[in-house]
Amino acid sequence: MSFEVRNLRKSYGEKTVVNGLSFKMDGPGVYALLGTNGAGKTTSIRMMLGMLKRDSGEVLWNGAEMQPEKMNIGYLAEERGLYPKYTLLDQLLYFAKLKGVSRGKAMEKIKYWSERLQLDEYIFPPKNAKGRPVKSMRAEQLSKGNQQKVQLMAALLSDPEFVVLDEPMSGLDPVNTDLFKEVIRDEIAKDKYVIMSSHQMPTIEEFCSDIIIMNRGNVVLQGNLNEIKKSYGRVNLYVKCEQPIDNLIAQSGLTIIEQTPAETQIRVTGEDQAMEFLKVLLANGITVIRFDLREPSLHEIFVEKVGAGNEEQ
Amino acid sequence: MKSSELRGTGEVFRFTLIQTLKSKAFIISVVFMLVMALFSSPVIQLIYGGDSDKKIEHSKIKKAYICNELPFLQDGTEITKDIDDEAYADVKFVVSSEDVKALSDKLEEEGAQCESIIVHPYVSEVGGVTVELIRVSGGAVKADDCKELSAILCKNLDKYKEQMSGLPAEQLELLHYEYTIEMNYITPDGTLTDDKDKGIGGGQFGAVYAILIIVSMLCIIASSQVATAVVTDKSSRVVELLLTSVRPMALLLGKIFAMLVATIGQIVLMLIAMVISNKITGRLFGVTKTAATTLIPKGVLSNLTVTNAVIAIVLIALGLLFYAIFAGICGAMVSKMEELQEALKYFTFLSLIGMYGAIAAIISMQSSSQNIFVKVCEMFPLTSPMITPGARIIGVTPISYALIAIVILLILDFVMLTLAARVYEGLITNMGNPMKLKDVVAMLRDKRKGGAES
Repeated sequence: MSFEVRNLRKSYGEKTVVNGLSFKMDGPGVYALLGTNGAGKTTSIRMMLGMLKRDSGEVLWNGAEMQPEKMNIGYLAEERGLYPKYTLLDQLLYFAKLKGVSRGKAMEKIKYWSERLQLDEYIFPPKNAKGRPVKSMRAEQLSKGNQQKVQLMAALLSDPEFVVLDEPMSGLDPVNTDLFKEVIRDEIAKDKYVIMSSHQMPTIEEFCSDIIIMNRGNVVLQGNLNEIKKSYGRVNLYVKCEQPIDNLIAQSGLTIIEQTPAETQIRVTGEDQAMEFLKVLLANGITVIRFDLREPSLHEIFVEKVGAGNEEQ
Repeated sequence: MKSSELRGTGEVFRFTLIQTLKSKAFIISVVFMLVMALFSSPVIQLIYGGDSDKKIEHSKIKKAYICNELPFLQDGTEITKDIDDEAYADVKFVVSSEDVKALSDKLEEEGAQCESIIVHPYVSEVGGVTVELIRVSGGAVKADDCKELSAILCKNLDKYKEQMSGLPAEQLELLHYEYTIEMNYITPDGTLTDDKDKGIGGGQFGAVYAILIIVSMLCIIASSQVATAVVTDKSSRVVELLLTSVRPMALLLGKIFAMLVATIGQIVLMLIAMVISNKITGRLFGVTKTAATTLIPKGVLSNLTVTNAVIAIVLIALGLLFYAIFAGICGAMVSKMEELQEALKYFTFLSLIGMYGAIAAIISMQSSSQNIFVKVCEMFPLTSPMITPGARIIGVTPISYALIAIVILLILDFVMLTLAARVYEGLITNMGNPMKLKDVVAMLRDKRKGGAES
């Protein structure tokens, strides 16, 4: 199976919000869509899922035009949504039924996920003091984090083959973030096709093999994350010494990127320049505690590509 | 519209209907309406029951001359016997030995004082039985009086038919025809003129007006609920999740059908409760006719045949569908519940045109039931669902007009669905500022445009 997006475009009047997005997933895995707010990520996802009409381009599943309503797609939207006044059980059964899951199977799945996501006390509340059954809670009675868990549950109830997670971890506390990560890891392990959009670079680095960085509707960087990093080379040098080294950095013609009490981050052109600098330090009798040459982080690549100050953590 | 566009409509319908039926607001309104309906008959009985005779509006007809030309009747009194309607208790039925022409001349001489009519059952030239009722133009007897009496006479003909067994075959065949009622009046120059276009009476006005109010109520309640359901999907942001499984049109249609069923069901329940209440009241008070029954004018529903009932239901259903689709589109133009009233202004405007137009047409029917304004309103899609069902049931609207109104509404509903299919997708995914009608028109111009920037 394969999923492919070809030259996706969308404009509103004179403004182009998605300009020629293309990528292909030849096998199961996680593809990340990165970008600042308004970069066109959600619009792209909506076009892929057929919610928005595209001006041009193609979305293909196994080489044929993708028909989302005929597929089993799990979608966790950026704009979280549940019916506030309806019970959780009713709406979960409805969402499952729309995906063609039978009531019995849906109940089974709801029970599984409610236990796994620690939601059973809200969906299947224990009997009251008089021993009478209590109705499932309404969405408006849940905290935001718990509502988010119900939405993840709704997305995964039908055991979808294609999963789209738009900002899955935003607004979650660390405990629930770990819970979500664990669930996502399991879904990936089941060989599913996952599209993930996020502002949280460490999350993307943890899950995604391939990325697209979008800026104002345009693709500014695209490809395999490891290869992208390799292409940048090891240019980040982290140094910690017992003596001050600022003058030696300046004498060597290097640039300080960031300086903290713990370390100094220096931009080098590559391994050769780093080794030259190490020789300078040793020749000047500097005691080197740490000397670490690394590839740039996704965060750094992102900031470089879309400009500093746009990224939200 | 492709069939895949409608996949999931059933699920949306079921869920929306169940949630609506479970909602506290719906339960409270149903209970309130049921209580009102159940208590209506006993309360009316308590108020009017003691001297219900005072409530009986006696017919203006004092004398009816029977000029029978039907071969299977002896003198025509067979159909004027046993009239149990108290409104006609004072009517004296006299078998006339004179022919219709001579009698007409005689009645015409009485002029405005004339309180008599001619009952003329005969075999029409095209076959079948016609019951002709002739009154004097400008006399004391009005068209309404004749209309009500004609319904009773036809019922008596039916009863008489059941007793017939030894008639010749050709006469039995006559009995199988549907009766035609002809109402004529005598003009001052002595000629007989068709009485159809002399305006409707008070009872008929009341019946059409009551149906108009019920249809308007249904229309406003169901359409507002459709719009609210659409905005709920948008304001709660569930719509994005739903759109991965169903197409926007299925969402809209599922909601429309659910709301129509819920609202119509509510009205039907109320009507059933009224009937039950009336029956129980009759037994409790030991009367065969409750005071509530006597309030319904006799004969106004004489044209209520199965065909006309079906025509009325189809017209109402198509009209409700039109208004509900429009309300759904209005609802999709906004993203927040507090903006709904603003969006519904277009729907309110349209429904007011329909309602006031229909009211004006009913009022003008009192002077002439077939004037050009009434004819237009009977077929105009905004007014036809409100006026034509009632007007057809009381026998004012010709069947051809009702069928034309159905065809026009069918075409309009199809056009509305097509337009909705073109703009609803763009509207439902728009989570930004409320959209204006001009934005929707712009969307229609350019199919490719859909929704605002996410």
